[in-house]
Order: sequence, then structure tokens, then C-alpha cells
Amino acid sequence: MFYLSNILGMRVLDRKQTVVGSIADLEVASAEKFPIVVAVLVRTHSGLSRVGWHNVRALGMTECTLKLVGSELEPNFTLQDTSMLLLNHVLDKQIVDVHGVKVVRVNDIELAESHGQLRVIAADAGLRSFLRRLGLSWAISRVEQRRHHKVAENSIPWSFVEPLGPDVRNVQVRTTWKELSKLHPSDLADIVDDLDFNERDALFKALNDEQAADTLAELEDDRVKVAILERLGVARAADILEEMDPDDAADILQDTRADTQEAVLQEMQPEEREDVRELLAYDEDTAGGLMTNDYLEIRQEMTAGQVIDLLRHEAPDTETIYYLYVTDDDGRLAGVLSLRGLIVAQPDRAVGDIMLRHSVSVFVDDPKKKVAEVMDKYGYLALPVVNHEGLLQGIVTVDDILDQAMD
Amino acid sequence: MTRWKRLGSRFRRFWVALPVVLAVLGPGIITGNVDNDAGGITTYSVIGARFGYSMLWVLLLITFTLAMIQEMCARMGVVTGKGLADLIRERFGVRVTMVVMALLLFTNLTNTMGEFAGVAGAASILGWSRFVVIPAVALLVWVLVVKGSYRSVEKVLLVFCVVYLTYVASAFMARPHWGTVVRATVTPTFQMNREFTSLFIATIGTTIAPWMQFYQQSSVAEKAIEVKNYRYEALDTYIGSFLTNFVSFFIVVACASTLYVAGVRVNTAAEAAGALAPLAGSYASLLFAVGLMNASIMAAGILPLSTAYSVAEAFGWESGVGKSFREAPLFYGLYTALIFAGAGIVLFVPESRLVSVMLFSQAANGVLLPLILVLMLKLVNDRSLMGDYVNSRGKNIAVWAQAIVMIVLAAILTAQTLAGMFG
Repeated sequence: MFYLSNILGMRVLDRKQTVVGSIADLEVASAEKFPIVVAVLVRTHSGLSRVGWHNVRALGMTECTLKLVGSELEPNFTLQDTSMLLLNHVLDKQIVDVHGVKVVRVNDIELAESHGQLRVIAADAGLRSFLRRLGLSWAISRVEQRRHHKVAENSIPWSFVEPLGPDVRNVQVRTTWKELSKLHPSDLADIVDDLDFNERDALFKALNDEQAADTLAELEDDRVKVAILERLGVARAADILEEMDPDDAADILQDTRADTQEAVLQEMQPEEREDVRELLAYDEDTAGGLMTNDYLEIRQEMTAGQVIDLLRHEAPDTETIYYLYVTDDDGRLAGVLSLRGLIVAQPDRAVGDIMLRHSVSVFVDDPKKKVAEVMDKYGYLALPVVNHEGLLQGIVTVDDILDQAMD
Repeated sequence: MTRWKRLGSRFRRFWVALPVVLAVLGPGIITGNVDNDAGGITTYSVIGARFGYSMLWVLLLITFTLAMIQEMCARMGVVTGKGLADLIRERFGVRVTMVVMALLLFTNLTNTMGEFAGVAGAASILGWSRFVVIPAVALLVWVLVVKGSYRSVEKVLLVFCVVYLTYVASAFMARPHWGTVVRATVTPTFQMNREFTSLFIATIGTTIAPWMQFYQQSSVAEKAIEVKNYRYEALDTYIGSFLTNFVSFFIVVACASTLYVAGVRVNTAAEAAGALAPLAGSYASLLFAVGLMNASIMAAGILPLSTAYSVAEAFGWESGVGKSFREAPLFYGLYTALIFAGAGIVLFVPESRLVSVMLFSQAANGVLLPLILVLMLKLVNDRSLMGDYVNSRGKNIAVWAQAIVMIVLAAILTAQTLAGMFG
């Protein structure tokens, strides 16, 4: 096994065993799971020369021998789109450890030779590799001998690594960030926290609208959400907000500047736009500001079977289906029906007969503290929100309150 | 008519841009204000008391130097989205980073001690016990950062910035000769003696401090300012650089028109505050002490914070005031250690035993600043990082010229300090 830190700067000999330069970098084919070294960049007095791996006779522990003669080396290096450089693009840069779901800095890179090919197998981020870079390997072994316990290596198998380096993100996004976009949105949100804004831009460009919306909703800091949206541009921002629950979308838009807010709203589909606009009218710290107006409207004269059919059609888009709020002909809140109550009922029973008539509700202008207290007192996961005429306006779910309570 | 129209549309554009400008402002102004910390106020008091108005021109010149250097950091923050420590690690590798971070850690720890010494000095003028005030301040800044969010921290800091105006008030109470003040500001004078040169260098060293570059670039990067709004961040930087020297100008004026005239020598900012009472009235003295207390508290929070940020960036630790202690243990651990080490040393180690530490810190600073300037110039001119936002040729010439002057001055200071310590 080789460490990149040992390979860099290594003497390069030509076929006649004369020193022609030193190793400046390794070029790898980045599309591979464990990238293959395709070329060695040799620093000669006339410049940087690219030597294909097939022209390398042997890579030893102290020197590298070529099949060429010195005069065949000429400065000819240009980077290919499908390649990356281990020193220039990866070493000392940040990477995403997809398995551990965190962003770490690469202290060293492990390579291994098999069947005549040299492959990248892992990135090292631990103390051990850091000390090795400082030239303190002797200190490690001394400590290990005395203490009988190993200094942390923290090596991350390359199959779990997503590079973030500045050039990588421009060229490689489509091919290499596949693993990243498979992560759960809340894991992605943790990673976004640790990225700089250029990397955030690149990541959000690589995600589809729905993934982007879920990830955005999971972020904790509102300023970060706003910054990401503003940098994505109005059209993409609108696409992403359409995918979000209207209350989350309104939360973000609340914090953007008035001109951006209006521009993004104009770009959104009319239906989603109206939902969000309605919610924007409420103060952030009231039930109205917390609620979503994307809920199922159930009338009391519907039958249980009809409601279940409706749920089958609509439920994927709505935030909660554990409680269904039933309205009368005027749109007033009439009662509440639990999912359990619905399922055990005969399909032809009218909802008005099986619902609970006295449902607990909050007013749109109740402060969020009140909402939390009511939810806590009755132990509900969601509450209906009504205006002062008793008309149902939306629902608040426990996760909206939880976010607020954790701040 | 067309001229009025043009003016009208300009005016409209201004109002349209204003919210963006206000959203961007912050990092530069806060950095500039923290620059007037206990060490800064001490230096400005001493040069005012010792040399009167004759060093005011240095402050005018250094405003431009500071603005140029900080502008490069702000630009790198906006374009790369990374902090300076990040970039140094990514471009120059582990060893260079290690050297820079070791020096930074050391100078920032001693500077933090200086801040707590400032707290103690101001407390003694205000008649409070240092054994109550220092632990209280250490706890206050610690809680603010560990328990607070970024937004609350920034708000509190901006309030602190306003308190600096107390120095302007003290200066007016000292009734200076404004004509002489203005003339001294635009007329460079130099005295060839050791005290003048060492204070001259100290003024530059305290105004252009290495932590500032790290701090401002990190805060700019964290704010995620768009490149198209870069000019507002540049404006923020220029305002900050102006404000810091605006305040130090009035500190010098306050001391020059009272202490210098009366021939009073002072060695610390607290002594200056105390000596002001009989000459400019107890209010001026009180305002001076309040300003010192404010500056020391603010810097006692920011310096350890900026250090923790830089070190965490360089070594790839989890960091950020938005994270909890458990999420970022090394970051908070370092922050906590710096504050309580700074406070503890000032409380329990007698001042006479710290003199050599302080001198050594000054020498370390003298090594660190030129090193950082050279690294910054390399980074900011790297096209693969900065694209079209590399330095212009004119700016490169101006900054290199100033960097060379500073390198020479730093070398002189370091040699002087080391000769004094070992010779």
C-alpha cells in the first residue's frame, strides 16, 4: 500500500537510471469506484510532463522508474474532463464521507497496486495521517509502543467518498455526486451545513426539485435557506418552493427581501402561489404563521368509503393524514375524524356520524406558545386552525412546533 | 431637465439597492471595531501622551493600508466561500498551516490576556473588583457564544460598536486645538529615536493584526454574499477600516491635548483613563474607562472565537456558533480554553512575570503578519481560485510595496524584541 504523501516529490528515473525529475501529482480516472491512476505528472526543469501509467515501469517506496528516456519528457500537460488530480483536487480539500454523513478534510490518500494497476482505495482524515504529513511518523510508533493502543487513522473507503474540490465540482458533478443524492434529506441537510456556498450551489444543482425541497426544509438556519434560494435564481427557487409544504415555503419567503419574494412568487404555479401568499399574510409567530393550508377538505356528508378513496388519491401530497378535519357546508370546522376511526367504520357510514364533534382548535392569531401548550395538553400530533368565524384555515402539525421549541 | 431625471433615477436606484447593502454590511464594520481592543487603545493612548499629535499622520496612512488588506480578504471570502485558514490549508498543505496556526494560537492567547487585563484596568477606574469583573466577563462572553445563535451574537456586537463613540466624546471634552490636529494629520513627521520607532511599529502592528484577516474572511464566507453584491461588501470593509482609525484618532487626540500637554507619561490605557480625570474632568475619564471596558469585553469574545474558527477550518473540525457543544466539541473546547486561560492567567499570575510573554507575543506577531500577507497575495492572485477577481496590477504593486515596508518594520521590531529579551 502507498500513501500519496510518500509518493509526492519522489525521484523519477528514466530507463537509463538517470534522474529526470520528481512526482508532482497523480492523475486518476474519476468515474471509477476506486479510481485508477492513469498518469504520473513529473516535474522536470522544463515544466510539468504527463507520463501515462503504461510508461511507468515500477513505483517503489523511494523512487519511480519510467520506460522512457529523459528526452522523451516534454511539458505537455492539460487536464481531461474525466480525470482529477490527487494533490491538486483532493489532498487537503474537503470531502463528504457519505457513510459517516459528515464533511472531513483529507490528510492523506491511500493507494494500492493490483494486477499492474494503481488504485485509490481510501482517504485518511485522522490524527495519524496528520502526524505523518508533518513528518512525525516516528512519534506515532513510539506512542503506540508505549501505550499499546493505536493512534486514530479514520480512513474512509473511497466508495464512500464524494470529493468537493473546486475543479471537481465543476466537471464531475453529474458523475460523482450520485451517492450523495441518495442520502436522506436530513442527512443531506447536515452536510449542507458544512459546505461553503459554492459547494452548496453545486449540490443543489445536482439534486432534483423534490430532493432540493426536502433538504431545504430540513435545514435549521433560516438565513442559510434564504441564501441558498437567492443564489439558485428565481426560476429554480420557484420550482423548489412548489415542491415544499406551503408553510415551509412561506417560512423561507418570509425572510427573503421583498423584491425577491415577489419575483419568486410570480414564477410559481398559481395554485401553490396562492397557498403560500395566504400564509405569508400571517405573523410568523402565530398559529397562522405555523400552519399549512395544504390539507384535505372533508365534508360531513361524505361516506367513509369516499374519504378513503380521496385519501388514496390525495394523501401523498398532504402533510398529515392521521387526523382529518371535517367541515360543514359553510366551511366551518365541524369535527375531527381519526384515521383509525375511519378505517374501522363501515364504508357507507356518513362522516358526520362517526366523527368526534368537539374538536380542539386554535385561532389563526394565537401565539405559537399557546399552540404548543394546547398540543401538549391534549397530546395531539396536529391541530386545526380556525379564524374567528370558525372557518377552517389550515392545520398545525407537531413538527412545526418542535422546530420552534428547539430554537 | 435630463440632469434632474438622471438624478431621480439614481436616487431610485439607491433606494432599491439599500436593503441589499444593509443585508451585506456587518463583517467589515465589526472587524474594524474589534480592532480597537485593549491593546489598541493602550498603544493609541501612549502615543498621544508621549508624542502629542505628531503621530496622527500614521493613522491616516494606515487606514488605506488596512482597507486594502481587508478588502482582499473580503473578496476572497465572497468569491471562494472559504475562510483564509481553509485556503491556506488547501493551497499550502499541512506544514505551512501548522506554522501559521501555532503562531496565531499563541498571539491570540496573549492578546486575549491583554483584553482581560484591559477589563481589569477599566474595572479599577470604575471602582469594581477585578476578582468579580474578570470571571463575570469571561462567563458572559462564553455564554453569549455557546448558548446564543449567530444572529444574537451579531446584534450584540453591533450594539457594542456604538459604545466606541464614547471616545469621540472624551476627545471633545479634552478641548483640543483642532487646527493643530488637522495640520498634524496631514503632515508626516518622523523622530529618529528608539521610542518613536518602536511606538510607530507598535501602532501598525496593533492596527493591522493577523486575526482580523481570518475573522473577516470567515464571517464574509459564512454570510454567503453573492459575487454581484461584492461592491457592498467592499464598502462594508472600507467603512470598517475608516471607523477603526476614526476612533483611534480621537483616542490619540484626547490623550495628546491633555496628558501630553501636562507632561504625564502613561503605560496602559487604564492609566490614561485615570490620568484624564484631573485634566479633562471625571466624565471624560469615566467615558474613557467605559470605552475600554466595552472594547476589552468585545475583543475578549471575538479573539478566541476567531481563533477557534481558524484552527477548526485548518484542521477540518466541525465548527460554527450555530452548532451545539456536542456537535462541535473541539471548536467549543478550544474557544472555552482560550477564554478561561486568558482570564485565569491575568487573575492569578503577577503582571511582572508576564512581561516576557507579552514581548515574545509581539515578536511572534511580527513574524506572522508578513507571512500571512505573502500567503494572501499568492492566494488572491491565483486564477484557479479567484477567476477574474484576482488583484489588478496597480493593486498588486501598492500592496506589495506596503507589505515590504511592513516586513522590514516587523523584522526590525522582532530583532529589537529578541535582542531585548536575550541580549
